[in-house]
Amino acid sequence: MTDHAIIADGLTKQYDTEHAVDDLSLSIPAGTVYGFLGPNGAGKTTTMRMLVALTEPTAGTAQIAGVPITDRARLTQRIGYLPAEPPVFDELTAWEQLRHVARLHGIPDDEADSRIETLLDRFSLLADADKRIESYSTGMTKKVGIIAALFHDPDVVFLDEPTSGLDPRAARTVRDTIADLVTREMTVFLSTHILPIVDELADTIGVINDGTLVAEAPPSELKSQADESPDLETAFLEVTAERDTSNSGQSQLTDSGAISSEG
Amino acid sequence: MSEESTSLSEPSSSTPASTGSLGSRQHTSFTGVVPSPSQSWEIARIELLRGYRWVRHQDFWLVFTALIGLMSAFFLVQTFDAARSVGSALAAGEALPAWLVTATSVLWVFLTILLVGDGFGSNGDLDNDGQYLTICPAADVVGGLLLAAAAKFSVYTIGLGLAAGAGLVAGTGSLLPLLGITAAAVGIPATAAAIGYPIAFALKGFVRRSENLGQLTTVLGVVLGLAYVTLSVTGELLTVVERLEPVLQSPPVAWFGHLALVTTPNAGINLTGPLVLLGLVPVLVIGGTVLAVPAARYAWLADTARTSADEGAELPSAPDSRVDAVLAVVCRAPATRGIASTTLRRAVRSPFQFVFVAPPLVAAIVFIEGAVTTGSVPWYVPWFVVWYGAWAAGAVLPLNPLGNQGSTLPTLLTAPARGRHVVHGNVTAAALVGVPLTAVVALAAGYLAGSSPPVLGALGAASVVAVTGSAVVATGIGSMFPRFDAVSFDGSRRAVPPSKRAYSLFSATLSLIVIAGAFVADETARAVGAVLLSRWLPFGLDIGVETLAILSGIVLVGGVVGIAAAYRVAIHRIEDYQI
Repeated sequence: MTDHAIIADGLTKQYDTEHAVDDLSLSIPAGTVYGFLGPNGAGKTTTMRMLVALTEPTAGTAQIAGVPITDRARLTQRIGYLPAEPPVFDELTAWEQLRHVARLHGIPDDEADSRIETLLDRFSLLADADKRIESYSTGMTKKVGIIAALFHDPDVVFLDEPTSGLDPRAARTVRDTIADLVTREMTVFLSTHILPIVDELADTIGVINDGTLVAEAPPSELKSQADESPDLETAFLEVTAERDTSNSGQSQLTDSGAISSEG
Repeated sequence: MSEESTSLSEPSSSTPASTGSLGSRQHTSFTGVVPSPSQSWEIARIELLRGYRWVRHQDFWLVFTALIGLMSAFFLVQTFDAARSVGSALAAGEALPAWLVTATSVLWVFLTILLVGDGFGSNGDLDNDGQYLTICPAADVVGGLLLAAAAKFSVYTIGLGLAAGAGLVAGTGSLLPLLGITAAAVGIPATAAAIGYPIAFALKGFVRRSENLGQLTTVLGVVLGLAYVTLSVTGELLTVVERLEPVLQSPPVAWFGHLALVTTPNAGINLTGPLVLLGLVPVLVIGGTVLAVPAARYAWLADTARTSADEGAELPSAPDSRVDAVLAVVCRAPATRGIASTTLRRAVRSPFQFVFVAPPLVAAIVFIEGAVTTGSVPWYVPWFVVWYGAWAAGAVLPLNPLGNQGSTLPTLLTAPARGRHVVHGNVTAAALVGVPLTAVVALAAGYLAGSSPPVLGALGAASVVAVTGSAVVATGIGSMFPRFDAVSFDGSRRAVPPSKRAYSLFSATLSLIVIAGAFVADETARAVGAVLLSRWLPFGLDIGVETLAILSGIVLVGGVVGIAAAYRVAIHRIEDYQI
């Protein structure tokens, strides 16, 4: 394992003429939680997809746990990924789904089953483990996705909105799990809209807006930069508003009739 | 905001309508029993609009609708011809054929049964019950659903009415037949909906409250479907109609036929029946709608029966299935086993994928009907079975290896499982089901067709090779042209079909290979093929039996190379796939 679990240099993704992510560089130490914030459509998911080799960057390079993202075969052995939409088959039971994922990771059934049982119990899903996922609530489905992303003990785990749709107790379990992962030297790349989670867990927070990393600092430092009041929400709003304002100004300069109202 | 939406936003009330201008915008339901026409119309309008947009944005249903349209056009032309003949006969002073009244009665019974099924299915449910039932009484919603259902199913009566009416007009030289036909075309779907929907709602409520019936619904549906197909194939459906003829020719059902023909000159229809029916239609429609309201409440507000939870029951343990036991023998790699096992489980638990390979089975009905009536099976039927088995095994599962993953595709692509595991898993799943089924049916058909032992051997071998090879080819083609958009069968049942390009390319490739295989293995096939090709080939090109055998051999060798190429393509495509 290198000192830095995630290194990205000039990562760019361009669709036609539009930059979804523009010249993004990251350097995230191993065994830390990186909170990745940004408004809707800012480029968070595209960034994560590039980092897990699901989307090819237009330019730039990145390494995860010392493996270039161009080497998917090796990369997949080091990462776990939870997309925003829980990756489950509705027709399967939770146990069958997790066993399926275990098999994709080459884990023998016996070994996988004992681990699945432990994790289902931890996430309070064991009693419903033989019911089909189609009968689950949103939160239960999300929990299955979280377990699937974590149970093969990856070096680096990418979590896209892991707590959305969860009740407070389940969200607490996820937060505790993430905190626990870090004690096991796992690196967590955490994308979310729920600011208190990153405030509580993240060692560093990166804010992306309009495809560009507009701020990166530890939570306390980011909060202290806020003008109005020293909290993360204010800091986030100010950081993203600054860019919107400058964009808006540019719009006004280039198009007298149009003023950006994105906020 | 329009006046209409203003009235919708007003709080619902079950109080009788007050007078004055405000009263006209108030809810007009009579204590929530009789639907308000304006609210029902609005709900029906939205239902029909949603249905239209649903079909318009689903390529599968567009193709299906186009096919049905083509078949219907043929049927309507037949109807026009028959009606014109009847009209001419009537003008010449002949008596009205009795079958016309029977046919109209059958149409009404058929539509009523269809509407029971429609109401029992998802169309009799509310997609937005949390919205509808909190802003207007159930009566209005029921009125809307009935109106929408009657409008949808009037497509049958309007189409047939236009064709029959035009035929009668042409035959009699009078426009008068249109009056009766129009009245029947409106009255039949209206009464069928008013009778069918209350029955459907009551059945739905009853089934939802019953733990056992709820589990048997799918089985009952399949049994009814099979019974209908069997009756159609064996010609027994006509026997059933003949047995029911006394009822279908008697009032009140026969009155629909009488109403349709009452204005046709020289038809000799007694006015009493049609007049009574015209008086009965509003009574039936209003009465059926009023009855449908409590029936709908009974269905919609049912607490679905659940298996009683066992207090203190043991916690679930690791699932143990026979499929996994078989796959453990066949597959070494856990990833291959995982793909195959999940693919099979999903296919069994959500079998809508099989709908996409059902169309060629229409030909099977013709074969079975021929075999039943003539007592013999043509020589080509076993080869058709091999072709169909191979095609279906390829098209139902492996033809969309990436799209079938749905939301779990990122999990597959970020897992260490390699492309070969995905290909092997898909092919194993297809072969495990497809090979035994195809071989058994092909050999049985070959035996009935009197095939020689070498041909039977070739059929058995071809079943194994064709199904397995086709699954590999399908995975290759499907990975090149993935499709992720699901087709919706109703509000909740969805399946992802293969892309049109994959479907076409795979079907053409496989057909070519299987036909070549038949030419190589079967002398009769070769002889027939040579004759047909000589007839069809342009520029007077002639092809002999021996040349055909050589060309078929070349195609088969090409097929083997193609299978290897498809295997490599699939592996690379899956491993390199980017979202």
